Amino acid sequence: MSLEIITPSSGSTMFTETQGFPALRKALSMGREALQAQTGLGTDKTCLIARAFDAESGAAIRSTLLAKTPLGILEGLGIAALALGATKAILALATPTEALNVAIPELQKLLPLEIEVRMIQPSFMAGEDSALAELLKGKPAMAGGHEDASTLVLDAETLVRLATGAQTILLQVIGAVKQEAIVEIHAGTTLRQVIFEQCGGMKGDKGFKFALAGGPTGAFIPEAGLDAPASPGTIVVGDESACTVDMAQRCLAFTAQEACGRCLLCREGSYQLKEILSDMASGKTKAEDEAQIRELAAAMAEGSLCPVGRRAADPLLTGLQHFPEEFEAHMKRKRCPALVCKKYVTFHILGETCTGCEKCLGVCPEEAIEGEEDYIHVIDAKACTQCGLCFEICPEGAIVKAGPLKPKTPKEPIPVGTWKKR
Amino acid sequence: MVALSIDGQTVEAEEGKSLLQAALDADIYIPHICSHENLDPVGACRLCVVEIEGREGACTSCTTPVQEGMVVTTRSEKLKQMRRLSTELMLSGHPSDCTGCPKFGACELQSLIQYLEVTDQRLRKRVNIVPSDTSNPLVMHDMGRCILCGRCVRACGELRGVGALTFIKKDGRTRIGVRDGLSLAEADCRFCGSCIEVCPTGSIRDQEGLLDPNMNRKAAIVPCRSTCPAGIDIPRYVRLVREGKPSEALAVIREKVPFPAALGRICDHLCESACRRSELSDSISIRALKRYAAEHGDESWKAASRQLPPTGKKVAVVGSGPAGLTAAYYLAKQGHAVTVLEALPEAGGMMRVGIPGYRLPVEVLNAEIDEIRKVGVEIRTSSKVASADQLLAEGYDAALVTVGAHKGIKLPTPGSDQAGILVNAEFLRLAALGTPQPVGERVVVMGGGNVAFDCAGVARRLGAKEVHVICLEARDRMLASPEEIVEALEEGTRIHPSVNINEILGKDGRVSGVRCVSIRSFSFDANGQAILDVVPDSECVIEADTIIMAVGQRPDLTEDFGLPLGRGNRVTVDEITLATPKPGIFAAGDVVTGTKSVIAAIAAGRSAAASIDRFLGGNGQIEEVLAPLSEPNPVLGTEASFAAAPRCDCPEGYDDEKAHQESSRCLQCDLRLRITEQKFWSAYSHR
Repeated sequence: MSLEIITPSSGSTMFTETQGFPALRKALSMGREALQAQTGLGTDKTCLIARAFDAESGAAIRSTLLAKTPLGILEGLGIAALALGATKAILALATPTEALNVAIPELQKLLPLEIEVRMIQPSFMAGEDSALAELLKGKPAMAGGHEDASTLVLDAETLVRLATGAQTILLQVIGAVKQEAIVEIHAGTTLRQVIFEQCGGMKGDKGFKFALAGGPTGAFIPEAGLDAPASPGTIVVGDESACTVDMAQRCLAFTAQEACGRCLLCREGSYQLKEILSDMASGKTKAEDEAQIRELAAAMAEGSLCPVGRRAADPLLTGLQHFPEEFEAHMKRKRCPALVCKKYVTFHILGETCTGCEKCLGVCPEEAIEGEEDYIHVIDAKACTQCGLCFEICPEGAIVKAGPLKPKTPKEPIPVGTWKKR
Repeated sequence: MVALSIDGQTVEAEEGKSLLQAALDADIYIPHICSHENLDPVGACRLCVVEIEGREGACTSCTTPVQEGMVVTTRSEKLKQMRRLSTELMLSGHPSDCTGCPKFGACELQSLIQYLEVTDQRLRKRVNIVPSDTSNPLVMHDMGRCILCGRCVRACGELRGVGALTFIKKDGRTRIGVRDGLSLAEADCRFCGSCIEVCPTGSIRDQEGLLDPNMNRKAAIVPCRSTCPAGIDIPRYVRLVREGKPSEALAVIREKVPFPAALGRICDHLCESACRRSELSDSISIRALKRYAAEHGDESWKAASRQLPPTGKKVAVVGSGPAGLTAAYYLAKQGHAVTVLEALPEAGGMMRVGIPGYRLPVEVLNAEIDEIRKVGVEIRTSSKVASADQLLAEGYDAALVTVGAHKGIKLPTPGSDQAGILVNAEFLRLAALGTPQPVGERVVVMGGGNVAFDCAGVARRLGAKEVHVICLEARDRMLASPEEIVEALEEGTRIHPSVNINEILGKDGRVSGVRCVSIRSFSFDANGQAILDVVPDSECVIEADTIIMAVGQRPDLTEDFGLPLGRGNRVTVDEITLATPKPGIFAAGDVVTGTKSVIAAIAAGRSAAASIDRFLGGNGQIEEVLAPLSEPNPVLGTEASFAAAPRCDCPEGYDDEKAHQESSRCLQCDLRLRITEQKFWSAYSHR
């Protein structure tokens, strides 16, 4: 993925290309205790695992670091091994990185460290330390197995920071911003600065609605939360056309699909929440659903075996917290104010705008559109499945979405130019 | 030991023990389903949550080790709600009707639902339709009932070191199955059954019809041992052979029988027919392993052999066959003075004069009889006993009649009054004693059991050029063991199954052949008359100068002996005590049951010994432990192509390598019984 990389204007950056392992050489000269004090890495470990791949699909922070500064990752690994007394390291990658082939023997001249480069199939669960350790043992990537106290997983960011001394954090901002980017910031930079300065503000100058920080198990941040310091990881920015119920539903569906399923609460709890949200988005909410959400979410947060399950309900809970009106509209009034949730939306062709070009007619998979050349087209609401293909293809913007208030349109095709609203 | 308080009760537990186990051991029930005493805890089901003073929230007691002074609450409304939610979540993807499930009444989930009083289905149901997999003959997977507790995965991986079962994440669903989409056999499953044993629901089960419904479940799980009439601990000695300990293996066999070597050659091995391995490839050659142990084991079994001090009681045993000698052996070890009275000039009964020497060499038998003499049994040969009363008059405190069934049955087939017609028992006996009845060049044996084949084999060794075995039974229904049939065919004997002999033909008062017809089937009416479904125009004549009738034997006893005789001239006894109506006189073996097997006679001899010992004032306890009771290694590991490993048969007896190879094929079904049975909540006092 080619994303813009936005580095800070001052201070050292993680994207500094290094050579000759200067930081490692320095670490070798300073003695283990001093190194431990400097790096904050203390407890003895035998084996280190470097996570140099992105677990979520669409995420690119680590793959970008790997592409830009593979030696930084390697050098950081060497420093960490030195501090922790580890004799073995596994570099887990998803993209082959040739530079390492030359660099590893070079590093080993400085430090007796057994280094294994492992290509893995990235998955959401591989982002979880215990699951990654299982995966590297040739087992399914499942969390909550026996924790091996002698092994430690370190992310590429942490390792590069060890090598470069950079005091920065990395964010990946995607969604409704002008410039999607990997943004490197100094701690304390606010999310508002990231979105409106580094990323150039909202795409199409639409209004900001939310940021979802931390991927599918992340939290919604509303406008009021933008002035808090940004935390590392992926940020999905949504504008006023996005629906938080729909977003939460997609998050839970993803977690239910990707979570390893070893522990009951995460496996079945995320399935239940996904179903509740799907019902919420389609007018099937039950009276007890909100109480059930709270009960399930609390149980999952307390009792899941790993952070995936403990955080799985966060999008839903923070959505309920920050966007109560939008959730209530779905649950009680069966409406999607943002006109995203299909079951609450109808599509209409405006008689005053349609030119009878027949483009929509051609793409409708349900043959739900009636019309012919130079006639205003009409959508049969009963046959329409709200797929939105017509909406996207119409060159005139004549197709509109509507909630409970429907625009007046012709009942059947009439010649273009003859439609008069009464 | 640490002391802690659980629900106000002070409990002592070993350090390192889990809180859950400590509570269960103290008879305090905490609901649980993913944890199992024999497996490492995970804390995945959250049923075993408890509150611990000073800690926030609820902890899973299975993953929390006990600590000195801990104050634990296992019951509260909050905990109950949490457990209910967990159970409801488990049930959301589980079939809701228990009544159609084979595990009904034995299901841990079902018991949990009762305990937690989970009734309403308030959560959203998750469709979980998985067709059951019945492709493996031993283990059936019915994963539509699986609640993903992961016990089987841990049992297979951590406990057994096999790793054939695993969690599988596919299309967004987690399920449990065989790794890499393989079959159990391909995934090097060892078919130990531990997955079945630990499964709390009906998801992994013994294949339908596999467990003998006439046995209790534990017995049915180890069918070889349960099928052996003498109850020899077969899995244990097979394991010892595999571990290269033939002496200990021999001691295990000796715990139940005093004729390991003889049985190692001629046992009719019901165990092998019951062996679960036969569902996969072929049964374990248990008999050959017994022979190996008998031939390679030393006398270390004697070290622990029980010998009680003399009781001053005298016991007579009439007949020195397997039943009589076995009883004599155990009675002597119980301290009684035992005299065996044998009518024939040689001891051994049917093992000596029924089974030909080429199958059971005289030296092998004599060596084992010598061991019986060594415990003080006196054997008087050529001593025929005329009547039961005579024994009591001679001062014996008790007597056991084990005279066997040595009188051959002669059928009244037309023409059976001519010269050249011999009868099984007499023919074999005289041959064994060195005074054989002469046979001609062409011999017809009537009958299809092992005795018929023994007659055929002996006839051939006496010079017969052409031997025919003719029987009513169809080829696959013949009573003889498959080995004997194969051996006979290899020697050139011709077998005529599904054939009836209508008439014995003769010339000048001497046999000249038999007139036969083929039959489709046969049965017997109420009077014992054969009803035949004859194949039309199938009559033929087989020329012969000697006919040997081998159609059954009965006890050679008359009313003069003083015991009531019932059907088939058999002695009637009390089923449990083996006592005859005459006080102090017992009977066992073929004389009671009619012709059976050596192992059945030995088992009867053991029962008789125990019963007579009780009659004489002893406790009847003849059980012995002769080999150290060591804990078998629970880790099986993998072995390539284990499921298909072929049976190794070796007529001359195994060497060390072959014995190891064959014993390594054992599925070790008994390991399953070492998995702790899970008690339901109702079995705990504090629940």
